[in-house]
Amino acid sequence: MSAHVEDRLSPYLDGELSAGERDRVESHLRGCPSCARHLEELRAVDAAARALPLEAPAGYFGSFSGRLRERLPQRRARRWPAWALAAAAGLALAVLVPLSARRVVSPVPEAVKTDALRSSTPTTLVAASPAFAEPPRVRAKTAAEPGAAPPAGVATPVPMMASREQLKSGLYAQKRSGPSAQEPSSQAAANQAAPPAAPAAGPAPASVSGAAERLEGAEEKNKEGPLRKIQRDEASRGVRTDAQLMRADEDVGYQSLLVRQAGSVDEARRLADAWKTFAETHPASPRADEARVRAIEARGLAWRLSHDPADLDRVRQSARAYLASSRAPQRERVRALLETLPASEP
Amino acid sequence: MLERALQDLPAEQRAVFCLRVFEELSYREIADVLAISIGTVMSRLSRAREKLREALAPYLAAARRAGSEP
Repeated sequence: MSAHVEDRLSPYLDGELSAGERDRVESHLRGCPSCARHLEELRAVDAAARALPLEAPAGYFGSFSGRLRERLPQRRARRWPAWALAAAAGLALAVLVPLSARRVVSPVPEAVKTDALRSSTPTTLVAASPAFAEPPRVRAKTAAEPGAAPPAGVATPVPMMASREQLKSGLYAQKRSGPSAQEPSSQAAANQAAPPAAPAAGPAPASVSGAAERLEGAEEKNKEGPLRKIQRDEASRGVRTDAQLMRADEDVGYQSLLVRQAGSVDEARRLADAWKTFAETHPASPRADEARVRAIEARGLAWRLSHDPADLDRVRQSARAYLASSRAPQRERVRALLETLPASEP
Repeated sequence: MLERALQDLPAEQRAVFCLRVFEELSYREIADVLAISIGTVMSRLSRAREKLREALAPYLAAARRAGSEP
């Protein structure tokens, strides 16, 4: 049997391999149940992620979505509302994987199948998971997918290139003007939080990857003056210098939570969890306190919508924990919230 | 579980994963947006998917078992 192809499965799934490589992968998959199963698992991961009932996970997600929206074809701008219809990831997994696991015996012929699976008919999938029943996202890409790289009918490379600077400058503007201008002190923390990048392993040719790292490092730092060369050098040696990206990540994570609306019990609970996660993830952020308070408020909303005693317990507990902490600048706000709750049993 | 795993990804991997899976950008488009090479897009995406796959391993195994039952 030919060498295993795990490292090619991700691009294979995306239809991003050359014809020759694709043939090699498919030929291997026909004789290797292990790699075929691996592929199905990766496919299930994507499907489950797409089915996440989020409007936008904290982090880059919201950032790119927002900034790209102007440049993306309309089909992408409509992506988020569709998400609201998605079912829980677990459901999609539970439904999808058993089906796809069975297909291991007849290895997947082509990457397009992912889209076929999602967007066309398999009735069990469609019926069982709202994620697949969402109003047909305009999938101009489906037609273009078999070809590898730049699909026809989507943003052309030229505007992409032209606006890359806009994207970057937007990032900087946001960072500079954002309330969390915690410059040097957060850098160490952010560096700590960012795992050291693995040396350009995998399919990326070292030269290409190295150049990309340098380019990326340079662009990230192009407002940093004298630091730039050092950081570029670091980047070229494989040292990660993405403190700024991490900070931007915090910015957009916070902002994506700010605009997130909770219209149902589940959404309110998830929002509370998301705020809590944000506060825990960015304990040193000036926004962490606001995040803690918003987590409590979202939990309160969950209780008002659900009247579930478990929600009431949680909002009480988290509010009391906040009031008991030494740093509680928004004590009054939380106390007021606590007072709107029913009196607790003795 | 998956949401958490997604948030736990290194930012650079999460960015690539989100742009690919949610925004449905091609590798070329992602490379342009992030100013990185297609090779880097490919390797970050592979790593991200592997981590998410590991995070979901128990569910995948359970679903597979369920799927293999008659």
